[in-house]
Amino acid sequence: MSWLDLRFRIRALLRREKTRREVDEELAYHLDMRTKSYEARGYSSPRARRAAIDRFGDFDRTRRVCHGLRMVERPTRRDSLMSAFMQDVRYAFRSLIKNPGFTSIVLLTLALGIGANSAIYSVVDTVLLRPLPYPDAERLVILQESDRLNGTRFEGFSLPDFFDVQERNEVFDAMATFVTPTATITAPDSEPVIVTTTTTTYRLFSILGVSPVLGRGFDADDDVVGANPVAVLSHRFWTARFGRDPAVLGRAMVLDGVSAQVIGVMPEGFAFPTANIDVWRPLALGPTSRPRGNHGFGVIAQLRDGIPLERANGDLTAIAAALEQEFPGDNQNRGMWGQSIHDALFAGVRTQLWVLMGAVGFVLLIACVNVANLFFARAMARDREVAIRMAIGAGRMRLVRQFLTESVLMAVVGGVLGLGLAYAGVAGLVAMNPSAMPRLTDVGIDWRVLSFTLLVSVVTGIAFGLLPALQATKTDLYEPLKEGGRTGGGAGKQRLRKSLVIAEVGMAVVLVTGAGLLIKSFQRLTNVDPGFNPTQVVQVSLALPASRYPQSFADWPNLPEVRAFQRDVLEQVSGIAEVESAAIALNSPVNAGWTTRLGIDPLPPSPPADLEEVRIRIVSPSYFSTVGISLVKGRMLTDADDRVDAPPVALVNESFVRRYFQNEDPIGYRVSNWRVAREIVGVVRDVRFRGLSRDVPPAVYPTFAQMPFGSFVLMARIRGTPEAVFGRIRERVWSLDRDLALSNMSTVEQNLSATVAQPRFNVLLLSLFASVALALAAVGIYGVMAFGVNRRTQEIGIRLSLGEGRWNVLRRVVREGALLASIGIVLGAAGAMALTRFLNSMLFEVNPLDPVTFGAVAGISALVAVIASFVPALRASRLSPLVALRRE
Amino acid sequence: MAKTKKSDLLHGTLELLVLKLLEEEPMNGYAIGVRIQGLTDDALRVEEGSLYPALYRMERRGWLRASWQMTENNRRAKYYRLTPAGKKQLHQEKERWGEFSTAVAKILRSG
Repeated sequence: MSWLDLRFRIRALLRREKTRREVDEELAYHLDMRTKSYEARGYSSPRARRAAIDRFGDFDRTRRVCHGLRMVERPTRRDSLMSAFMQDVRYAFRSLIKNPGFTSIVLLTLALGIGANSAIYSVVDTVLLRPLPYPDAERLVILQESDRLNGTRFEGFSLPDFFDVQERNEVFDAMATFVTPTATITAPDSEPVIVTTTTTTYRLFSILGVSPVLGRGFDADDDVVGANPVAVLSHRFWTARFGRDPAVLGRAMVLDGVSAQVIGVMPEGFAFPTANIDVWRPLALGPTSRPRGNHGFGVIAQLRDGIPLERANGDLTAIAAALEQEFPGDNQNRGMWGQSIHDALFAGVRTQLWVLMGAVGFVLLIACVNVANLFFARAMARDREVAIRMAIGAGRMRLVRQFLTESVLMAVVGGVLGLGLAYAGVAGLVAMNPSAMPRLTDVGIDWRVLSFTLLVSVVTGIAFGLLPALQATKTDLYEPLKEGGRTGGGAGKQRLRKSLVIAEVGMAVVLVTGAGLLIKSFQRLTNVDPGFNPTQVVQVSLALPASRYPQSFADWPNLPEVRAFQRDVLEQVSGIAEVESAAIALNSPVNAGWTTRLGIDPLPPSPPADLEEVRIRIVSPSYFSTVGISLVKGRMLTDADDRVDAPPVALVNESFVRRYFQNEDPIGYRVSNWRVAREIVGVVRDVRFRGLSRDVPPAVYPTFAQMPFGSFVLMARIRGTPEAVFGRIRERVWSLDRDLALSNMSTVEQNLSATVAQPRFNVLLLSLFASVALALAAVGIYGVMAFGVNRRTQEIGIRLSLGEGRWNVLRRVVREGALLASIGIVLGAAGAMALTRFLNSMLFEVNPLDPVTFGAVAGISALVAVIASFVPALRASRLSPLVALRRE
Repeated sequence: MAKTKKSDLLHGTLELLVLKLLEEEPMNGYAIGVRIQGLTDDALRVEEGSLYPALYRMERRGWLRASWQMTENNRRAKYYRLTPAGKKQLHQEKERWGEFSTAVAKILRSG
């Protein structure tokens, strides 16, 4: 390489770096002019040049001194560190714009990795990390009853139990109990609407430490039997219904036919116990106004200052034991315990969210590896540039800094693009809103997500930039210069890139395995036979207000107004042309319903344990044909049974027969609850009313007339589209009672599908991330193999010209790619074995070490790896030996 | 520079000449060297090893400002221009040079 050539190269390089360029260019100009002046005197060019250099004296020393003078700037000048940084940034920008292909691949990869992280982080942050909006949240405890008999640890309190604990405990400052019934608001000038209310003892707001923004909360006088009805509105409901009119205070609102005075409005965002509460009302019930065996009350308590939860649980256990002694009929086997409000709200989604966070973390790592590999490849292509810059005195730190500036700049731009993805992603997540995820609707891109993204971007930039930067600047100064510039880097560098690819394949395998397990689990789940036919069935919930449909327990089961309406509505709805059959039931077939204690007479082969509770599913006789539940034995219920004065009868399910009759014939036995004995006349199929993933408990089906309730679900099997029928049903219901609100109008299929919304959410996201991971890993393999082929073009050319078959060349390259992948797959499978146990709680009937899934994942990954290395292999095998050899 | 040391004075000589030349028009480093040599009829030969560090030092002190311009034969060269601070410095240097040469002349005459 001639001096002029080198100088040209130097100048080309120097153009990119102001300080050094200037010094060198200035001195070079001087030398040139001097050379010219010698040439003018008749010197030959080389002689003139030599003379000019001689005349100059110690060129290097002068240059160093000038550099030095330039570099040690006075700090007040703009040209200092800051501007060196700006220089780096400008330089980085230029070099990135110059390689649009490289830059867009890197940016896309980074945007995917960072965007996925920002999206999931925004969910994790809002749902899990953000403090609860209660000032003293650490002291808040949610109390549960447990039942040693059936093993449940999550059962509501009974009202007498609550008052007993409130009176006897020595660990809580205050307690409140609550239930969240729906209520119908009627007004003369508008359609009736159903609202979700919470009725509670009066201390609820003060325990939570939140006061109304308008008006007042409840006091003790509001919470006594016979007190004037009052109501506190949620901010959302106040906005939607009253347009934030402050004059709402003191106004009356008719709830379930009872007029209540509005006394307050809660602050925006206050939502307890669930996000959808519209109205809070005082419970106004005495300690014994509900039976001790009736469980369904939520309880929140505020720990006395300094009392740890364990201590409170000790106290609760003691009280529960005492109550067991005092009320052996109702409280036998009952325990009581509390958990922090944080656990109560988030324990269910915590695992799921951390798994997703881990998954996107892997995706980002894989993205980093890919980008690092791209940077490696480019750094090697820039070998000579690096060598020249180092030869003219650029320090290694300076170059590393330059490289890092480039990678961090890339990462930040990728992060900005990723934010766009995250924004869309979050909207998608919220739209998918699996109902069990608390606070999900609050999720959005805010400054916390922005700072997270910035942090991740910078760390990412350093993570994928540092290794290539250090590697690149370790360049031997002479080798790249002297060799006529065959770029490609040494075997050591290639080894490092290969290990990175192995790591990336391993991580992808972990993710794909996780996704595979969830997919398999989801398939199992959705293949579960629900026990009925959910297609073409619509449902709507109705609640008859006691003010117009008396539901006094003194008269029960004689509720003539309720029964009259139910008969009429069935007749009306059955009359709709598209309706094949109509039915009412206390709960839809995908609702778990409630339990009651049951006696069986005479005693069956394995009678219920003391006080064991059984599901009671009250239905109209047409229910079974409407939702498609088939008869196994005996006879169906008939309209003749659906009368309060007919002999009491009931159906039972298969699980009931298995559990108590060891598959013997139960027909003719009598089941009794609430002092009524019903004869078992038939057995129907098991229905998965607790959800597809849960087993079916024993259940009894009495008729509505013999066990009437004013709240029920109206169902109809239809022809045609549900939307058309919804309007007809509404008309028919309103033709009977214009003041009834129809809520949750939907298809049974939708409700069934909602029960698997959570697992579907997990499957979708994890599969998405796993696919991205696998695709990135494939790109990684492709990149390394393609680079390796490129680097060994000459070698391949020699082999080809020596007569090695093209097929051999192809096989050699593919084999190498497959080898890398296999190491990665083995390592990944090992990692997956260690990690999939965290998925256990999210899996249904699938072992976290399921060999079929592990095998399939290995196969798919290997296949992807082979395909990824096939393209470069093909290119290698098609090289023309001559061209390959001639290539520098 | 409040204190005047001998080496500074010697440095100062070159600086004075550069300042003086640049007072007339902006010039590049090579031209400055050639010009000094030409004006002094080759009596003063400026070493590149001194000239360029001097230029950089003066730029750093804020007496000169440099910018890249095209020469008449279309090459980029770095041109130096006097700043107001440089002008002030030129006056001071001139006075100091006057005092210095008077002093030297006195000594020489007294001998």
